[in-house]
Amino acid sequence: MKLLVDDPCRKESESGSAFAYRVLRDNIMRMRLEPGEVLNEPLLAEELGVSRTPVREALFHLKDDKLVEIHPHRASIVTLIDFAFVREGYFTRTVVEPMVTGLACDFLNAGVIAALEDILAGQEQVLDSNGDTNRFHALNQQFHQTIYEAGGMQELWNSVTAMTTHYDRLRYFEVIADRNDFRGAWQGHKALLRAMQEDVAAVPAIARAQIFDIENIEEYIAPPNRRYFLHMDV
Amino acid sequence: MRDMVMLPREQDENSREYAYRVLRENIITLHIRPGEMLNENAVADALSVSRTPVREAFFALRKENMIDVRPRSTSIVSLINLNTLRQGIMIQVMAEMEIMRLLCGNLDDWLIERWRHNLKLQEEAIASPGKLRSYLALDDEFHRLAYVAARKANLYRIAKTLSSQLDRLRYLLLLEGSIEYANGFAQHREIFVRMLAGVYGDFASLYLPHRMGVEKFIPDIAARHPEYFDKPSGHDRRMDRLEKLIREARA
Repeated sequence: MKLLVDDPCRKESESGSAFAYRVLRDNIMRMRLEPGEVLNEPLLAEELGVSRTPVREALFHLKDDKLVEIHPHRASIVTLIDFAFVREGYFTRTVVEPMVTGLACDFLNAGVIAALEDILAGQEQVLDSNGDTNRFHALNQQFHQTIYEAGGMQELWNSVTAMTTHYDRLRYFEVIADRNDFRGAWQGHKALLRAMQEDVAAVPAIARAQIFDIENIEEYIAPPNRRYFLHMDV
Repeated sequence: MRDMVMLPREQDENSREYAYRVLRENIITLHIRPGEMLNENAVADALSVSRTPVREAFFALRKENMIDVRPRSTSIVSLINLNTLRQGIMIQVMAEMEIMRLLCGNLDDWLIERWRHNLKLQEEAIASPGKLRSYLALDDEFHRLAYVAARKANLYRIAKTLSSQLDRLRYLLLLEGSIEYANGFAQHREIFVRMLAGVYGDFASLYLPHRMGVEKFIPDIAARHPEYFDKPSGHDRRMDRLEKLIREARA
């Protein structure tokens, strides 16, 4: 199975199940664990260096995220990417993000602006060094999360994140990711941060334009890869 | 917990679902009050189920912020958190303004039939005293049908979970007569008529008061029942800003 562990050290305060959840989720999101793949609990426990109970707890959390299907007395498998749920996730972002970003403008302070600028600088570094696109995605998530939190909307962020597990997985899908204009996205986010400080009325439309579009995206998925998906429109 | 209301178990319901439903029902109808202690063993005894399903039900309610776990694993019913509650209103308004726009003038026959039936039941509920709880369930159902028709059933579930704090507030406001069922019902009927006729028009002027109307009662009810609220607060200016953003987006 060979899990990829970005931050392999279990953090000091992290429970076994929180650790297992974090690592497994990351591996599923990045397609290291493929849609449809069978998960072997004892093997996962061994690789993660935890016992089976925390692994089982992590799998239950992943089931709530619609990332794993648990069949009692049988195996657990990574869910296929369901286009119906992808479209719902996309819808959620398009209706929530422009408004949240608009609301957050009232709560910008020097600390928040500095945090957002740091994230953009981190992304620029990834771009200039042809670095890891997963790192770019992670910083992108951080950018938006920081905006939600600035406006005291942490729970809303959690809800949107729960809605976009399949949408986000699709974005990480290699063929799709190749179509991604990373530098364009980075410039868009820079423009967004500027508008949040100088031109609040323009913010919702700019925020809306930053959302990765999935219209007609099914066409770009090659037939051999369609086995990863459900409810495709092709 | 001494005022806990028992409900009969449904046929297709397992112990965990049963325990969850009874607890949630008691919490949102304030039979178990914000801040009240909950004991797993006592709940298990009262419902005649074992401790495991009760623990699982507690876990699910904790995820909805309906229960807080305190040191030495005692659980209490969470106080109503107004910041979370406002985020529940936000997600409803943001999602539903667009869902209604998508549905407007495109109603499937089944939706027309279900809405008609739902409105008839609402009308009956408000005419009979003591039907507060059934009215609230019908109100939820009215909105749920819109999400389902627009293929947004998952979003309904997530938005419903985020807005669970709102259930207790709505119950309290209706119970104490601050808001009237008749208004909500009239608004539902007006929404249905507009959707059927395909006239979206100035939908915000109809929908924002419907979904955000509770906001203006918050400072008063929080002052009257400070013991139910976590950090009582006054008016939240984000809600004014949200109204403005929604009106501008539609302009």
